[in-house]
Amino acid sequence: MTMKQATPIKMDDLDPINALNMPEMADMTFAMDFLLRAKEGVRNTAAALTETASPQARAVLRSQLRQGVALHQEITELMIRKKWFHPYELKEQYQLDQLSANKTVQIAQMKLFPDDTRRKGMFDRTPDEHIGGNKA
Amino acid sequence: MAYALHETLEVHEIAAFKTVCMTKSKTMRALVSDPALKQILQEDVDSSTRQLEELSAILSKATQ
Repeated sequence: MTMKQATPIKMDDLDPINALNMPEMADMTFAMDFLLRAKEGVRNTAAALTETASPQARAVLRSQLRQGVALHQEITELMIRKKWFHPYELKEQYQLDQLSANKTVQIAQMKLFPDDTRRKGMFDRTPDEHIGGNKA
Repeated sequence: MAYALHETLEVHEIAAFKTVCMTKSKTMRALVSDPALKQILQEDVDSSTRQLEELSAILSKATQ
């Protein structure tokens, strides 16, 4: 005997099927974000170093630049080891980028917060009231 | 020794950037599940704290 369901169960965005492989995907995204921040930090520090004249400030920035480069290397090596980043295999990197781009588009289309979660109107003051921010 | 204005502004900018990054690393650390990535994030939080102290030492000398 086959059972037939009258109305199929409707999936919402909180269904566990949407969370499949999510911890690994999330870690990959966090690592990529971390790598970009490390890279930006190295560039910012290097640019600041070329604008500096005092020996003390230069010494501090130079040591921080070295630490930044070391951090960037550490993250890159981890990401290559974990196969989250393929600098030598462009095909694999392309597929990975496609995967995360599609997943991101899916997440953007999800209605994760169906109810109104605004807290506006629940407080009688704003944090910048003393400088007239509530009238801006 | 006093610092030139442009140096102070550069250090200020680096300090602001580092503050944001440090806060982000600290927050992300709680969301990450991979232990190696967690470890590097923790190291970043620690070294960023040290670096911010160095930068704030420069800034407090510059504003004297």
